Amino acid sequence: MSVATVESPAKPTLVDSLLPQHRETIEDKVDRAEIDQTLRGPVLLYIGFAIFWLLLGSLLALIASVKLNVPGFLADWSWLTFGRVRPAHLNAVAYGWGAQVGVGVALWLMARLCRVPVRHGGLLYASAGIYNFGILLGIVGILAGHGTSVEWLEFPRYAAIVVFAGFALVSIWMVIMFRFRKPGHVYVSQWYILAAFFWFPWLYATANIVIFYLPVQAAVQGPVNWWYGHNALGLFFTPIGIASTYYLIPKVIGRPVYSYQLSIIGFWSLAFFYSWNGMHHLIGGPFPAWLISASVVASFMMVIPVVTTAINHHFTMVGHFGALRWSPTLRFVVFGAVCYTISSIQGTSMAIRWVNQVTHFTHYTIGHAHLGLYGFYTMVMFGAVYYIVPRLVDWEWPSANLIRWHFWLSGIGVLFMFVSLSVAGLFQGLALEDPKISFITSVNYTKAFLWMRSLSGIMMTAGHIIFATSFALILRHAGARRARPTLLTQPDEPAVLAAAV
Amino acid sequence: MAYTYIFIAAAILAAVVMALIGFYYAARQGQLRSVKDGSMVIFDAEEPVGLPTDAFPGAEPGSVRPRTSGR
Repeated sequence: MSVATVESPAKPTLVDSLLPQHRETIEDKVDRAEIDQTLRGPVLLYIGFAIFWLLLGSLLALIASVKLNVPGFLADWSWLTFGRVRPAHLNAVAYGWGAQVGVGVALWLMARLCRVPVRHGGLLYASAGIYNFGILLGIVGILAGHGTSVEWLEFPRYAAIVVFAGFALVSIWMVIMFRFRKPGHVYVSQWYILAAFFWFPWLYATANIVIFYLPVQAAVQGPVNWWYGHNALGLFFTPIGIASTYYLIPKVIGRPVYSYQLSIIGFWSLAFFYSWNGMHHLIGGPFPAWLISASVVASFMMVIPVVTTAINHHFTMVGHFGALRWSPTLRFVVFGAVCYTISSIQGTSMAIRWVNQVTHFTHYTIGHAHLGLYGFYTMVMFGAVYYIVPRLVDWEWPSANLIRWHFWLSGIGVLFMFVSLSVAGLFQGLALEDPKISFITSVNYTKAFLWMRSLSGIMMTAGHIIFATSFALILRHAGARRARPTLLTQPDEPAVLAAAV
Repeated sequence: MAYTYIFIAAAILAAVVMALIGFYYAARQGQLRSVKDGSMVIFDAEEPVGLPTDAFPGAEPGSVRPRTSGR
């Protein structure tokens, strides 16, 4: 590592890093290994906590899912009634798993792309502790009956403020990291990550204040709720997922992104148009027409970032699809990238009024949410974890079989869930629209599909257990040291490689 | 009630305004110029273009970087 003159001889304090007038000469170059070394603790801590919440969230999901088939299941225990288990599942997987694994991946990506030594690592440990304490308070609070019943914001007020504090610390770290980055071009993944860590605390704080602390009138809480709920997906989870795909696909195959211009257009169009999208969830509700119409228009504008990103994903991969046979990371990430395109286009279609009229209040929306948050985001995060963790622990994944089983169980599981819930939702929605069909008949139409949902949930949970096992094994440096990455298959020599690359 | 909706619209527009400020900042920093080269910043001498970094098997020495060294 070569170092230029440093103006501040002492190690900067957190206050130094936040002062506008503080200036430092940025080190010329930092080895990736050094960055990995300094980030190992915080990133593994975040990913480890995330996996814990993924397992717990999966268990809660299974309980909720079985209850839809057997309503009497665990019905005598108030803590596990459907009205509590279901939001506990959502919050455990969204904030416990999704947000935290996103933080872990984003920390690593940001540090690598900024190419400077990691500073204020203590802030990250503090953040992880506070954030997880908040999640624990929130989940226990929901199960104890203190949930707010506002979708995506079910954490009790006493937990929400702790969650916010924990997350705000990571956001501060991100801003500091970005501020003192190595001079030069800012890669598109950095824009996505910086924006996500700016948007989320702002959205979360605003929604909580406007709904709980200084509540607006009841009818208006709906638009605020969906402004937050939809933006949490589109302005936090999506940017982290896309940032990961834009880094991992080119790095894995060793080829620059197909069109960097398109990636820039995609980022800024997301930034400009996405924040209006949420109100399309309220089509048909008692709200001003202009509010809904603006949201429908903005939903269609989302075609721009989605198509630009899809074009980039596809054409970057052209000629390299053979690599999907051998790279665990690429297999998960490309699966996620395809699901991103499908779920985003589907999301836009759900803003069409007559489509929304049928699909609203049905399982179709749940299927769409799982395709986006699991098929896209979670699968990309799995791929990122498979890429990052060996570099942090200096050890290869101990078993290709475990990775293979994880991929197929999760991949088939989420597709099975998406298809079954989508079909169930369409039957349900069409029945609800028909005045000659009773409500209970519309429920009965979905019964078989709800069993399929439970089955797909079992598959995905099995995949999560395998993933957690792999993670535990690699942390323990299980098995013999490998000289090469763990592959999904072990084909023959250079001829196969030539076909893949 | 109308004032509350205006507040919500303002909150949404605030996101757009912040995006505009970010866009202006990016332009001032020269981030929107020569974007073609931007795609190359994730590659360097240590991990150059053409070098797969994850998991291509059966590679000739040097064509796939082993992850457990030289990172």
